[in-house]
Amino acid sequence: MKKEELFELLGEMDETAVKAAEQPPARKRSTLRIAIAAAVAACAAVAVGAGIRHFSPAEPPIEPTYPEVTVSYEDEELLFGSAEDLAGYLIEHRKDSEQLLFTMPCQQDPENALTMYTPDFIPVGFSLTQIRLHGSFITMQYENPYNGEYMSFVWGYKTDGETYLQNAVSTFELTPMDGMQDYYETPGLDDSGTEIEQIYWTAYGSSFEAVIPARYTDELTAGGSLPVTVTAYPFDKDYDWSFLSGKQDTGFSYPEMIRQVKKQYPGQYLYEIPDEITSWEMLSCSEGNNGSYKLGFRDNGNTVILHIHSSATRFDSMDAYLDQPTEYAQADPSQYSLVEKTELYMLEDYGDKLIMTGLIAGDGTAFTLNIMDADWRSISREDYLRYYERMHLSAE
Amino acid sequence: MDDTAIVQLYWDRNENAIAETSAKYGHYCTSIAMHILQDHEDAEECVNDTYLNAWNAIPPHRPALLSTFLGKIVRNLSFNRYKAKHSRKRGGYEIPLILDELSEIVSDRETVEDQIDRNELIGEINAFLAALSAEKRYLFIRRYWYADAVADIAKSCGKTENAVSVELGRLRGKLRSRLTERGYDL
Repeated sequence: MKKEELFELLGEMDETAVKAAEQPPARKRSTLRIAIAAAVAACAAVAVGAGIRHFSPAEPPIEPTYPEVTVSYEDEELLFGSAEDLAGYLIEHRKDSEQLLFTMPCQQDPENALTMYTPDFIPVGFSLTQIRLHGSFITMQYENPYNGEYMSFVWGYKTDGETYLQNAVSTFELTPMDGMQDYYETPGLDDSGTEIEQIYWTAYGSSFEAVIPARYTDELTAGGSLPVTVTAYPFDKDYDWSFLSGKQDTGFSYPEMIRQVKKQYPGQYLYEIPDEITSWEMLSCSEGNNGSYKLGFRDNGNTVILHIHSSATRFDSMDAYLDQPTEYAQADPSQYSLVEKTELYMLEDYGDKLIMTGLIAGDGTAFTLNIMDADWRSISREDYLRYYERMHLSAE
Repeated sequence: MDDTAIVQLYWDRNENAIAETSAKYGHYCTSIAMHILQDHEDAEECVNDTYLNAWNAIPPHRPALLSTFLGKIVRNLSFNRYKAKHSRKRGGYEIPLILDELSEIVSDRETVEDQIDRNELIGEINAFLAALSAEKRYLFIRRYWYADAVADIAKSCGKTENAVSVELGRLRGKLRSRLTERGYDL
């Protein structure tokens, strides 16, 4: 077909749609700004530990206060050139489609909390399934397509609403980026039952996925150069794969980080055992988005992932990070040393998962604590209540 | 005057129909013609021809949406005039840019008419449009129906030109993929 023919054909586009396009679609940024202002005010209140409604430990597990509406935006590809674009998008869907999820009571009115879902989004290999604004936070939840699990990233502990939106935008726009970022790894099994590590990261403006046998990651942590044959899916085929051979000496890498951790904490990664839970074993320590650290622990029945988010703590100061037990819960691996300085911000009950979000008082660092179990109510409810009570009291 | 009344004037063969149409939709039609022709004189002639075409078409036609009915006529007339003039000179038009963009969707080769059912194809395009968000639909229609400049679209919806261009590129890619998946060898 000739392009002129197509142009003529496009003249037959649906008249109703053409008529509607006489005016641009409504944008409700001012509404968002109001919401942002309220959120910022709420966050400021959190930061000073005043005026916040916390949930009483005596209350039953939190049930959704508002009806859930799960939606999908098929055929959507999102592009946000600015914070305002993102804001406009969020508000457009908030207003027009009522495609919101007000499940989480927040410290002020529900207007400060909105949740929306959208599939098929960057980063490569992972789908952004949820964007949630709550208070001064924006949480983006990604689904790992390989195992169906979710991972969340909390952005914006700053009290500047625009700043956190800009941070969010920086996630939407993965390129251009300098250096290696957005590093995720997920253990799994391949078809033959071999343990593998599925790794995703972005570097130099490109996204990468790699699947390597898990044993190689251990060998790599020794710092050696291995003749590794990887099943990789580089989106930039010119990328220097020497990183996987342990030769890269710039930026951070998972092997390097683990090597440092192992060097400093040889043997089992056991920390002090809290009274309520026994046999805490550190499973993993990885650096996530924007300077966050994800520490995995395992109790006999429960897996706990502690996700600490702090833009002030970078990998290049990992040693210092690990040497700050009182501040970052290293010496006392229970969350108590963390929560003693923590404002509990939000509790989310997903039935099989409990997510606590809070602020570390003083520096404003946000953290999320995910307690996942098939039935956390029956297994760890008492523990949860004790945790919560301590959190609550400390927050008071 | 509302559209129903204007259309009734046509049906009554009342020549005030033209004046009322011009008063209400003159700017609208001129804007479309100007986007395509970039020439006031040519645009004005096309708009006047649009009124004449409307006069001849109503009755028997009774358009439900008068604006788009007129817009479609002026778009066709302007594009025909563009093609006639374009064979003689180039430059200064928005249309070449739009056609270049559309060439990403089609092969730009002659095709046998019988191979493509135009009604089915426009049905697919409309289904594609319907699946878009309001904002993306707006971008697509403003560019490829109204032939708006990217800068104007960006200004109207508060986006940067780059953001609009990127989004339009994605939409063209989606449309091409959709049509290809459905067996259209364009």
